[in-house]
Amino acid sequence: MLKLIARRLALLPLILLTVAAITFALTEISPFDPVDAYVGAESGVTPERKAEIAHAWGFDQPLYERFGRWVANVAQGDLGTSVVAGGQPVASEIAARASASIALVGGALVLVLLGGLVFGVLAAALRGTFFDWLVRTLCYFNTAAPSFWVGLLALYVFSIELDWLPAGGTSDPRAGESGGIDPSHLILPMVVLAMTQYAWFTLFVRNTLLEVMREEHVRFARAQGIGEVAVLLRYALPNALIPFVTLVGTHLSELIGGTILVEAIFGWPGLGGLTLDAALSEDIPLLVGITLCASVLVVLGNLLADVLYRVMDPRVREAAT
Amino acid sequence: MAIVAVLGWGTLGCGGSDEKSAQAADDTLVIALPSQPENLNPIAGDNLYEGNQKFFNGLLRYTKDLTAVPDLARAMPQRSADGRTVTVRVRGDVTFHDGTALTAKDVAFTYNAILDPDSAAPMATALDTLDKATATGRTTVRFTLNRPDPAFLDKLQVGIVPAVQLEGRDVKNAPFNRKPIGTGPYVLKEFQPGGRIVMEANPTYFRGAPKIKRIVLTAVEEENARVALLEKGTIDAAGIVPKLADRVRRNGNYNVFEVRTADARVAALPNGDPVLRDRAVRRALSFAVDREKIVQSALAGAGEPAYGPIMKNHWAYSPVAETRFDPGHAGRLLDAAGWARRGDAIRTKGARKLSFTLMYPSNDSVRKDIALAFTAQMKAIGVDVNLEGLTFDVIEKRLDSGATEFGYGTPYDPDVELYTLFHSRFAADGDPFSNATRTRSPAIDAALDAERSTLDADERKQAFAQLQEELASDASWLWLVRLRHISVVSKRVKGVDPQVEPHAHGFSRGTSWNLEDWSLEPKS
Repeated sequence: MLKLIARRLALLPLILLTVAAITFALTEISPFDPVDAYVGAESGVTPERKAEIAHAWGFDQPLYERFGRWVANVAQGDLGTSVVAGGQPVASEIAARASASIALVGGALVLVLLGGLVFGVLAAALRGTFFDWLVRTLCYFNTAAPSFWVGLLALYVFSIELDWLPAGGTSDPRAGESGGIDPSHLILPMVVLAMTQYAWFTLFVRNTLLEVMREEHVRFARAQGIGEVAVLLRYALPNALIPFVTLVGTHLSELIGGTILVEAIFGWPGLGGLTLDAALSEDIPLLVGITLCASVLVVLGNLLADVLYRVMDPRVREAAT
Repeated sequence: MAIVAVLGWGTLGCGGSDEKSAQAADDTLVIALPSQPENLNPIAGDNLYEGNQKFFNGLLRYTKDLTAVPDLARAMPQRSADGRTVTVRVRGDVTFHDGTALTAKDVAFTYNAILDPDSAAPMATALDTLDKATATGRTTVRFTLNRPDPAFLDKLQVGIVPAVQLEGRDVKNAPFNRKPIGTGPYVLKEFQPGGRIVMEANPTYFRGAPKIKRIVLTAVEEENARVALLEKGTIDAAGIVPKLADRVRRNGNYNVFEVRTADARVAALPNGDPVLRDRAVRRALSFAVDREKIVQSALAGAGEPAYGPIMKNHWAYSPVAETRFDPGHAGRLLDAAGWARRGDAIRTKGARKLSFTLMYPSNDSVRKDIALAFTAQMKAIGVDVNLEGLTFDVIEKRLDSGATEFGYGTPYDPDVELYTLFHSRFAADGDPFSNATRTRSPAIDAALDAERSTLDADERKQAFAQLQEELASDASWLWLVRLRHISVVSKRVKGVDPQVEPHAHGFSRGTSWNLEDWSLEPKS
């Protein structure tokens, strides 16, 4: 297993370089114009001046030259500066917003996993009952409801009508320093983000469990007189969870995508809106910087999944050795 | 880069904060903006009036009625007889936030930095009459122009930065862009990227320390969420869309200001479009639009009809372009031009239908509502309009076929905006936004050239009147409505007295132009 980890980590620089090259190449075919994004569409800036601006920022250089210089700078630990971030270093801009994003996405992921597991298992165990029907109906409803509407509704109900939770930014704007993230400010955006993803996971756990319950080894366990709860948790659940480890990896990107909306509603200073701005403004250094961070997360996430496979599934362990 | 600041101001009515923060709350004003300004350096500002952000002062400033008066200047600037030199004496008693004294050198540096191509300053277009600024003494600065510029006083309002902070540096990437040091009434305390900007009163401000000690600008993009946060009392002030104004009025804790603006919504009718190239069609559309009705339906009453690029009551305004709503007349114009109608069908001329696309930026709900109302009115006279909500990146590639709903308007000197918008010099260039309709009219050019070639106010007024008449006759721009921006401010705040706003505006204009004079009453 250590060999696997070492091999994957050794590949990481190559993967990152490829991702960076692809991101650079994609900006070439994107319809966005960095100068128009910079000056604004209705600015009245003359074409001559736009050309000067493009030159000053280097937008007019061939892409391969920009990529070459970027690689050389990164080799020295410099990710470049970002137009969207007022000319500030890409690394510091990402760092400044990363904690807000990690708290939001991490918290939502934990909620999705825990909630999905608990309600999925319960719905499977109580299949055909009112509870099962309720869980499924809520899941379908949530899949159908636009998440922006859910977000505003949550803001109205829990923050304004009931006055249970604060909203707007990472902490009370009237308090002295903004410092860190006030947990009470995190709850609403985190729950709303989780609600964009919990439905598929809950239904996935429920349905896979029901399938696995029909498999022979489970029926065998039952036949041995093992109690229904123990069968469910010890025999069926581990098998049901194996494909799910991979699925979490793929759905993580949807969760991250959902942050754009949540940030807009709750004034949350994360990376979602910044990524969108970077793409719309064709701010290549920032876009590549964010993409690289995401790539590192994905590679590490996949590695973790593979390690978990080996721990959870003896067949994979044997096949690998 | 654009500081999309539909500013608003709001109230306070909430409980829920603990003792400690309630203490601080009493001298803190929280204002929500739709997005955070990315760059606080006036040199990087999108336009002449955006960069001050209350951290800076210009040489001049506008009063409530948009009269230019000295700010950092000791007196009004002096023009040389040939109009090519403008001399300004700078106050000697002003210091920057770091304690260093303001001198003419700082003024010259600021303007020269904008002209420097390496700064990538969008404002350089507006300053294209300036050759250079020279400090001729400790407190005297001389601006050398390449032609007499009647609008130059408007250009003396750029925030002045301390030269020592930026000299010899790459301005566009300077840390200063987010750690501004100015002479202004407020000092930056905190810049949380994507989140809040905290500023505190400058105790040594040369016109006296501001009364409100702490101001927090927080970014909330979603328009409904801004209203929700007003209702909760999390924020004290915000700019909101007109259709949500009544909800805030019912709340009772806020003053709702309908701020008059020069900000017009206008459909550009490109001369390359197979239908809109027909001037009779363009002229007919102007009679077929019920502008009052658009104001009522799309703007919830918060607006006024627009007939041209210059707003009513502006010194350069001429009523010559005002058209009455007359769909019958519009129909007759179209009939005469051969666009025939059978029953309620779409008009046709030969095999061609009287049909065109109207594009608008899809993220702007107000523009969408205006476009919808317009489309319904056109249908009534047999004109088919297909709406398409797009981004400007897509729109700019399609500008020559189909109309586009733009937003333009300045309450200041119209020269700065109108020249690139209408002059035929910009009709053939590769840039889609300057002269977007590709109009080539010698009469329009003549009026524009006349307006900027004299310093005489009456002659300019006449030239602008001529311009407005020619624009109406050419009818390539279908002016629809002028918005009122809705600014909501807590009733605890006293001294709010909004100034007429431009299309794009920063924190130093519009509702917040006199922010430093506001005061905050204690919570009851």
